Amino acid sequence: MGDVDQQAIRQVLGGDRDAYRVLMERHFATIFRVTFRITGNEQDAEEAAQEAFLRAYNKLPEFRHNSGFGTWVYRIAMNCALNLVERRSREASWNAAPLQTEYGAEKFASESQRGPEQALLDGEAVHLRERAMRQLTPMERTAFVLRHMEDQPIGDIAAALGVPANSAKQAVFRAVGKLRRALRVENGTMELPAKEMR
Amino acid sequence: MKTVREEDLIAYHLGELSLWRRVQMRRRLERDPELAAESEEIAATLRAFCCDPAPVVSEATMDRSWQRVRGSLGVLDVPQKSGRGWMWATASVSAVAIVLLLAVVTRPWSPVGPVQPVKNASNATLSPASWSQRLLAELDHHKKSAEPYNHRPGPLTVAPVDAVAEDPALATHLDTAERVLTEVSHTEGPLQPETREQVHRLLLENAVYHQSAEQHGDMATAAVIDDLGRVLISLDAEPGAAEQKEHASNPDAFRLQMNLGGVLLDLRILHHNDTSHGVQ
Repeated sequence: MGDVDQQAIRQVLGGDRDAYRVLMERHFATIFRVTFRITGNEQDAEEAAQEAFLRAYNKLPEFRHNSGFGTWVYRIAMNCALNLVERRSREASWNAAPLQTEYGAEKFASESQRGPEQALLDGEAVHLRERAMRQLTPMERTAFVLRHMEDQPIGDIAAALGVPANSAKQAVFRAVGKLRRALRVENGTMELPAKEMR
Repeated sequence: MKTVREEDLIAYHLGELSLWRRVQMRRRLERDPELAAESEEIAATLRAFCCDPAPVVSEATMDRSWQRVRGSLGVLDVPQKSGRGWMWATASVSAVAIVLLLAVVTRPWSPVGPVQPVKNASNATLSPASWSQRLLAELDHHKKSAEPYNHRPGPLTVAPVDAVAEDPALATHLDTAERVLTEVSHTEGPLQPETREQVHRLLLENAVYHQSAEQHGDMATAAVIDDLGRVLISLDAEPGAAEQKEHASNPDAFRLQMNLGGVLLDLRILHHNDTSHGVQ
């Protein structure tokens, strides 16, 4: 698998710009997944993923093959997504990104043929989570998503976000604390349906 | 027995504790039903946010993204590697070694041993130990100056950080400032245009948050934001690349580095206070 990447990188560095599509096609889904989880919506996720691939292309001559291309571009994507969320949070028109938009609610309803009452409850759970996530700062949101949902080590998160490891860890802890309190206030009890484990 | 904090429980559930501490925590949870209930609440929070599905990337999305990226792909400037590069590198290393050897050989001999750097001489003759002493002295000075202003013990406090806890925008501002300042402190040479733009934006917003913290009566945070403002002003007014060489030997640059370090430390303490504030 790595050989395919390396061959494509050699071709790109040799001047064949279209060979970059091979790298994009192989890694876009993973990059899109992480940018989607950080930004919370498809449009921004797409924009951040594209920016990550563009940055990776421009830095390709500096790529040292210490890690795979996928890991490298993934780290760039974490940073691009955080920058985009920070930019959006400054825009007055941007109304804090939902974690999964209506996609999540639709998925619940269609996937398991649940009754309307259950679908309503699931939809409400999605909105509770969205509201809780809105209380996080972009840094907390990004660090939390990367550590908990993407299972990235704190060291990698810190390196990608350009902060010391302790700051990244504290951001994750603050995020969990805020989410816990937000859900308690919103819900009264912790009755949110848990998602299926990966 | 040591009190278990909320962040210890979170670290336990996220697998951030060492094996020994994990075992200890498990024992505590078995013995303490109240702690176990709190632990379960944290676990439920994490389960609620576990593995949200991401949309599948369609062929159309992939195509659209490729077309956008393809339009911006320039011709890469790949550095050419050649045998001559090695020759030049070897020649440079040899030249440096000869110069160092000459410097050692021609150094004036002193009967009382090696010459010690003078403490009050210019920056160029300060030993690393003196530099760190000056840095610590400057940080001490920085802390002391906040006290009369606050009538509270600065950011290093166990008191609730009201302004940060109540204003998510302020928390975001401090997060961004910490990230940008960390980047600046780890980068050499002139500021990148994007960083300069971020610094300028932070500076414009800073005054608003300073006022907001004062209105909340959180003078510790206000003092940190005030210091942050001074560092941002210095960075915003930093000379461009052309004047950078001259600037590097300027004592102001050294002072800016120290102030930047002090503000970064304060920001991290504020974050820590914010986290501690949330502990039940």
